[in-house]
Amino acid sequence: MRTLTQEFTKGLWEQIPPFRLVLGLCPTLAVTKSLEGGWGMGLATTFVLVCSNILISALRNVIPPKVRIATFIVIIATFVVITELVMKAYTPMLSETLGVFIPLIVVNCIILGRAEAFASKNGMGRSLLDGLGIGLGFTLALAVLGGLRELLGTGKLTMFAQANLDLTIIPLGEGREFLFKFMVDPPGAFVCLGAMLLLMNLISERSAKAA
Amino acid sequence: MRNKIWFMAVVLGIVAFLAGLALAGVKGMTTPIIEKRILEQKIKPSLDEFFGSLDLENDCIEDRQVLDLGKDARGRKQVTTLFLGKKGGKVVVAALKTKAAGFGGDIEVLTAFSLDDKKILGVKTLSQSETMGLGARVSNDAEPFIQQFSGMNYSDGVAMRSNGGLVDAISGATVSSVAFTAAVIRATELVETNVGSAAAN
Repeated sequence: MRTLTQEFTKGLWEQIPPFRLVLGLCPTLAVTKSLEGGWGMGLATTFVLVCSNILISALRNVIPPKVRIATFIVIIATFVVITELVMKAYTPMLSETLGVFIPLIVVNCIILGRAEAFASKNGMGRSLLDGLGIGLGFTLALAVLGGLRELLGTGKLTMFAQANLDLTIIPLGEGREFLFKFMVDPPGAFVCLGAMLLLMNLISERSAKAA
Repeated sequence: MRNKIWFMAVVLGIVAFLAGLALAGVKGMTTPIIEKRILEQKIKPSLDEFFGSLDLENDCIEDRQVLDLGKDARGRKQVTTLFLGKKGGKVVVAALKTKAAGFGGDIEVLTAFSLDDKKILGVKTLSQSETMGLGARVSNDAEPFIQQFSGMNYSDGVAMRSNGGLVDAISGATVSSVAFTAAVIRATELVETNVGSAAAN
């Protein structure tokens, strides 16, 4: 049995989605065109994951096993729609960047996966930490991937477009929009993801050898 | 007990009921904020673009009117907002929001009319969820499909070329083009039937 700290930290490296826990690849590839898209999607997913994990864990002894998946989906979908409406009202630009991928959090396999594999078998405290850890790990992964793609693709880093928070790291000439356009195109997402996984595996291998 | 059919139905029913309550609450809280934002950030810049050079004497956003469109097939009340611009005490321009079902969902269009010479001043997509690269091109103001509406005379009705009209579709995006045009046609009809009476006020 893991300690509570381990329950939280496992999501940040050991089981970090989408690299170690190979779930949630669709949003990973789709919204990481910018740093903002990455962290925005990550935090929205974290919110839904934490809320649904807590509620499902609280109800785990009441929900009949045969209708558990249907119940989980109703709970998850509710939190997703709440997230969607709140984002539309308060962070409209982010909501437009992420577009249809916000409602699609309902079918993000990380959330149903954690509900079925973890929250329905563990207490509320553990489920909260599990959701928070996995969610923040997902946010970290998406933000790094999005930041890397945006930096290589356009030379910029968008922190929060609504507040005009963006940095130009590599200045481009007049009228030039892209540095390396491939990176912000869909195939660039695969290559970038692969490169990050390679790096993570190298680090894991090194630390395993050292131990 | 947890395996009894009635118990499953009750649990699922209660969960769904509470979910519905929560959603209705959140929707009630966020809808006014979202509507205000759309008005300020999407409609206002478009209206400024269409009417900016006309020196209107009123603020069309503030003087907006709600237009009752009756009920749709499912019996839900349909409304839209009508923006009227006055000059010399007379309504000279109008704009309104209409929607039609496209390929991936509703396409919402803002159409602006010049009433004296019965011309469309311009059209703008407010929201859409069409296919990227094809139907989603209706969001691009520089798109020839969008541009062709500007200056079009609407007194004889607007129609697609396949229906004997003047509107050319975006190739590869027939459904989206037809839907967009349908929304413009709807706006034209609404202006023709409603603005005459509104102008008297």
